[in-house]
Amino acid sequence: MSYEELPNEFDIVLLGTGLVTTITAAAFSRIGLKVLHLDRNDFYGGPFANFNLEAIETWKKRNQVMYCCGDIIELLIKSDVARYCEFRTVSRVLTLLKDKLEPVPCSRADVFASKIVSLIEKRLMMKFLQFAADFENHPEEYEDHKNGTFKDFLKSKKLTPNLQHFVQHAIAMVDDSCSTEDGLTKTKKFLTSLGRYGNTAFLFPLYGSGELSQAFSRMSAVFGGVYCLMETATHILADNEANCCGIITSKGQKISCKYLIAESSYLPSNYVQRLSQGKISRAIFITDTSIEPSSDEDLTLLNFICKEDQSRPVTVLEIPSSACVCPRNLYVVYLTRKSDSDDPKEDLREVQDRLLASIDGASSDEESRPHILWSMYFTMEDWSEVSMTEEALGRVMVSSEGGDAGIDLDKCVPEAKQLFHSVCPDEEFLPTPPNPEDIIHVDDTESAVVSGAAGDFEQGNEDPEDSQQTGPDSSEVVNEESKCEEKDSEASNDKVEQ
Amino acid sequence: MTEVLFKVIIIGDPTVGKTSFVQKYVNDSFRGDYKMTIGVDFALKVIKWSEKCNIKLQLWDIAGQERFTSMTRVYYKDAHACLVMFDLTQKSTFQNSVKWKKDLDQKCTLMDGSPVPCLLLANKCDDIERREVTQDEIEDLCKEHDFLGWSETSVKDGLMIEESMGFLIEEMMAKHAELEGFSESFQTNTSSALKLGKDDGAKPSGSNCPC
Repeated sequence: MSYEELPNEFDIVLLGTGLVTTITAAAFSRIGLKVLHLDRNDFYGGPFANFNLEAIETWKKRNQVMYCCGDIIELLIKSDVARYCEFRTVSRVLTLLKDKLEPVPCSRADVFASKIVSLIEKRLMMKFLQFAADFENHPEEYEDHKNGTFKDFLKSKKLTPNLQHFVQHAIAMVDDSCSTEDGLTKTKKFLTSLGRYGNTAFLFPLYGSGELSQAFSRMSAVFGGVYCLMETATHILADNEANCCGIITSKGQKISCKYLIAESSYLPSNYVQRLSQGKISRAIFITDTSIEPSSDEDLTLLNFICKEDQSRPVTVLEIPSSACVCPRNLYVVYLTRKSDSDDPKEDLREVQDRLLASIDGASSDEESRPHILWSMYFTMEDWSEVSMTEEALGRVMVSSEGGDAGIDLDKCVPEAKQLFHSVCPDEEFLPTPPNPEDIIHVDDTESAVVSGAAGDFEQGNEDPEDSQQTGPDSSEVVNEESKCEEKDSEASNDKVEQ
Repeated sequence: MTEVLFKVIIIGDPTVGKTSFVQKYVNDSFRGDYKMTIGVDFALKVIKWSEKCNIKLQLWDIAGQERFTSMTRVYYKDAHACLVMFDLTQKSTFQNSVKWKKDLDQKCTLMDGSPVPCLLLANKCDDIERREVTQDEIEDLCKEHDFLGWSETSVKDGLMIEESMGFLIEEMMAKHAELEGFSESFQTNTSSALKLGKDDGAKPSGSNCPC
């Protein structure tokens, strides 16, 4: 809270606290590199920030779920970052079938218990799911459709239209253009995830998925990472070989580093190239009841297929108050859709029309539908895939800010891993840390106070960096600054050669 | 023999003496070989409370995140008590202790919704010449912002460390007794949150066997 000069030397400087960037930061700290992590926002909310508004900011960033056997869950467990988080299971997956919301039968038990599939369908479904769970070992079953679409493949398997709908839209959750192999891979991922933490394939972090960034930040800090919010880099420093060798912070401090990893919005625009296309339409509602009320407080996932454009489904995630995202007895509903339009309200209208009560509450069949108590629409560009341009300095890397239209977060892990391994190819990525309970101090006689404390600690100085010189002498700074690349102002974008 | 686990967090501005306090407290009451190890979330100390009860005390230190304007909820989560520390020789750290307290109260409460018990520690009381905060000022702030109480400490001279912690532990034990009945009725009523761990029946990573 009070300003304190940062140390002047780090191995890695990271800008932005999105999930990929925080995972990467934790990985570097974990192996002992010196990490400085800055964020221009007061992401976790300052002491005077309104709590609800803070939460909205978090929602805006992401509202995705995780496959129980997906990369992110494996990483949370292996790195032990999971100890900072709590999760809720996505307790049901719904699908819209003939204008009615139906629970998707996904496990063996579900299939048998389901009232919406016939006996013959049950056998067909079981057989198909069994094959999909082990499809790589049965290439003969799908060889003919290897180059075709998953949709056509399902048809060829003689699945009824009902079952085709379930498998494609509710289990694999892929669009019509998806290839057979991708569809099978997605189906298998769903099936593998099922049963790990109960009868569900997905988990959702309590307080929302923004919590994961905080957990990885804590891991990084515990391993010596230095964190600073409301601070960013205004300049990137270059050495004679056009490699990045440091930054100047918004508070004017010069900091040297070996690598800079930054989210795209922190880098000069000519450094970054966006590979992912299009935009994402989003909406957040607070409602008074569930889209499909049940006796339990369900956490619901629905892959909503729109009538006008089937290739762009809407992911609907309905979170009950027990997941700590909203007050008691209310629900938060997130809508996400890949988009080309700048009008999210129009783009998501169909979901609202078919699942929720209209604002004026006119027709009677809408009586029982959820009423929207609060709503918010927005459009964001899909920056989930980015790369550096030729113009960028060496040793600067970009990390994606996340927020693609997909339902899960698994994409973040390989990206963070790649960033880490491009700097440290031979090091392990987030190995399991030692158990803190291994250091135990047993005090068996309550009154025993040992005199003669260790001299090491008598200084009361908790930060070894404090004792260092606060910086090189000023002439050197000026000299270095002349080599800077101005980042924010266009005017001085050229590097001044020495 | 019962065992009670308490998580105590320590917050406050940089360089007021938080880490030293933790080291001194854990160190003094055992051997002289304790070092705050990098990569460890908290220092653990087991205290024999009575013939029938051991207390496992987790002391969470703030690590490199103290430069955040506020802490993450991840750090505050499930805390039973809190120490807010400031430096008597730096007035700004005294003023900021209110912000730290508010940050905590905004992000974390006890199970029953009451605020986390908070003790205000005025460190570096040995340095009388550079002192910038009076006892009256501390007393007023303490009352106005609902601290449990306050104490001057000197981590350097080992003053009031055991006593402050002892006071806090008694408070936690009292609250613990009060909450015990509450927690039983509470836990049966809410859908349980899931903790992921290595031995939760999860398959080992890398295993691809379908369910």
